[in-house]
Amino acid sequence: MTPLAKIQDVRKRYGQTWALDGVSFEVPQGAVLGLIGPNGAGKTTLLKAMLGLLRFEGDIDLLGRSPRRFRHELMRSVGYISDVGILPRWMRVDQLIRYSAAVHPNFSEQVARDILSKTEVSTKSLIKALSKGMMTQVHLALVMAMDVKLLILDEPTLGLDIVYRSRFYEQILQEFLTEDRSLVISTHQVEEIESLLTHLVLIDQGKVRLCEAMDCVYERFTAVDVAASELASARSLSPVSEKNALKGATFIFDGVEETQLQALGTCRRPGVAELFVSIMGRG
Amino acid sequence: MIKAKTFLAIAQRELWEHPNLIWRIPLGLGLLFVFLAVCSVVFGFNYLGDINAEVTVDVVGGSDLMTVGDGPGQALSTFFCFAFFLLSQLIALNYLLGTLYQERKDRSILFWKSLPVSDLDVVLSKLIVGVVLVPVVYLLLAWMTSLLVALLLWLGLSSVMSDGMSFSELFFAAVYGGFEWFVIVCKQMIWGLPFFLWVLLVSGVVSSQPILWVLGIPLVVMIIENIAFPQSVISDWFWAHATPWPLGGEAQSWEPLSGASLVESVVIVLTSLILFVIAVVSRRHFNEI
Amino acid sequence: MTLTWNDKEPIYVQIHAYLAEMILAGLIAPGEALPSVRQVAVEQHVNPITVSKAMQLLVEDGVAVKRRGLGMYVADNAASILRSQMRARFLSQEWPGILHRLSLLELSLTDLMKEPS
Repeated sequence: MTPLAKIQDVRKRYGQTWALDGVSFEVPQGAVLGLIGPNGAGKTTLLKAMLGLLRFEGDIDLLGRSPRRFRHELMRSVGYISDVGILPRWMRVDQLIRYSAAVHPNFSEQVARDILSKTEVSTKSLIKALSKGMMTQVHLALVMAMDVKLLILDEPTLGLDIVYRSRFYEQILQEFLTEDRSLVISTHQVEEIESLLTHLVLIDQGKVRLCEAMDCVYERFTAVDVAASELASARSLSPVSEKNALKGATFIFDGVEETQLQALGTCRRPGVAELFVSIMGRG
Repeated sequence: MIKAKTFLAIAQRELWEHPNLIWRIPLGLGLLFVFLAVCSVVFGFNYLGDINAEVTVDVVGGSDLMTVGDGPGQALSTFFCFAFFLLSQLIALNYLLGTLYQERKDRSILFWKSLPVSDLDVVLSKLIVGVVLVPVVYLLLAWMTSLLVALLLWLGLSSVMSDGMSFSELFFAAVYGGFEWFVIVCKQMIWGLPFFLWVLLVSGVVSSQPILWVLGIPLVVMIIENIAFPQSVISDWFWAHATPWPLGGEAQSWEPLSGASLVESVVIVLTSLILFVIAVVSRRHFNEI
Repeated sequence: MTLTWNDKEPIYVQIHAYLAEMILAGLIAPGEALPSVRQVAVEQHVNPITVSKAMQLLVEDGVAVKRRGLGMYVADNAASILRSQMRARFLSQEWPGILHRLSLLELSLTDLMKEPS
């Protein structure tokens, strides 16, 4: 199956800094791809490049087309929610719905209203009167109603309290995820989306440090809590990282058979956050 | 080309965003004048000022377009249409100056661009709202106001004057005045197009204080031209088109349907096209503020 | 109830265990429908693909059957299959560890049987 998005060797420079320095990856159909990285890693720049909002070097292919040249056709099948509240503050919710319905061919007013009826947001509310959580609910309702194939989320839960965050993901899980749709979500808060991901892209200082399907991540990487006595043998197996722990150290290995590692200590699956720290630390 | 449905959706959105500018102000003004007229009739005072049989309005430039000799009906429509026209031009310019700037300033452009609406559609629709919709709405309201006021005054005057003017005289003069002004407004749409596009373009490009750039750049060009060249062709042309058609001395010689004005018309169209294309391209490659 | 995932086993294996326990405990009777993939995904905050994998395991073992157009249902002999699976697992993986602890604690099986449950 053709991937919904192909990013090839994308570069973007601001003055002397390369915000993106040769980024490449693909978004398969049905994927939930997490774009994980610290602040300033280039996540927002990359997502804006994918939406055709920035000039860049390299190639981006979204649903078979260049987003720079075909933005307005692509937006029929691509949805976007930004980290900052970008809904027009002067508008009312029902005006937003009517406008979206008028300009978006696949928009379903019914779906938008149904989703909003389950929230505390009234369609008569002004956007500027809404909290960030409610604004995100409105934006998500609009995007769901557009029936998009690819949803791009740039830190959508930033600044949201836990109730809104969990409702946000519930909505995605309930309504959005199907075999032919894909989700690209950038965040630096890995924990809340780790169990949702099918693919992982770790990005730091404009460079991709890891790009893998989650199944492969779990197969490749093993974390081992090693006692002080085994430290030397652990190091001889070329770990990715070593981190001091209470009675020894925690090592992370890439591509080493678990049978070899079991002698060193308790083997377990590294969390994405742990992996992130360990790979970034490699420098 | 732009679809009617898209244009209507965007126009409606502009109306939602600027109801005061686009229709509440002229409606309010119109109602105010009608109210004053009612008061004049009821209380017998001249709230509307001195309405004489012959009204002359001299304006800057000495155009005698404004001399109205044929009676109060025409005077009324001239007064209202002219006043509303001037106001509509200021308001349209104010609207165009802010529209592409504001969406970048509050970042809502990121939302608008996530919808399947092309930059061409957006820029064109906003242009049409500023150049066509606002002046037409104001003209219609001015016209209706003048008709209502004419009617009220006739009622008032004929109740005290035995040889008062005929209703049809008053009414048809007012109607005719409205038509005359419709033609003037249309001429201004074309005459002022390059300037309006300049304003829209600046709105879409600058990172702060659009008003400074809109006036500042032409002023600088004017100064340079006056110093460096014997004739300031560009500046003269620019300021001529920045002045509304009814107020301009040279503008009066431009008759869009005549061959003599062909060169001028072509220049207007070409400049407008170029400015429009730049405005659309600027929105495509917009810079965030 | 949202589970907290352990970091030893893949999540789909843990979801499989969760569903197996529900079946064994009789919470889902033979012939009854399993909760839908989406339901479990939302409840447990995991990708539906992961849930599908877990359910697929149940089908492969014969614990659940797929009825076309209707979804997944618990097989009649689900409980016995699960029990023998879990028995085998307990005996090969968990029991040796327990035995080891018992010897460390110097507890005999007869001592254990005397403990109130």
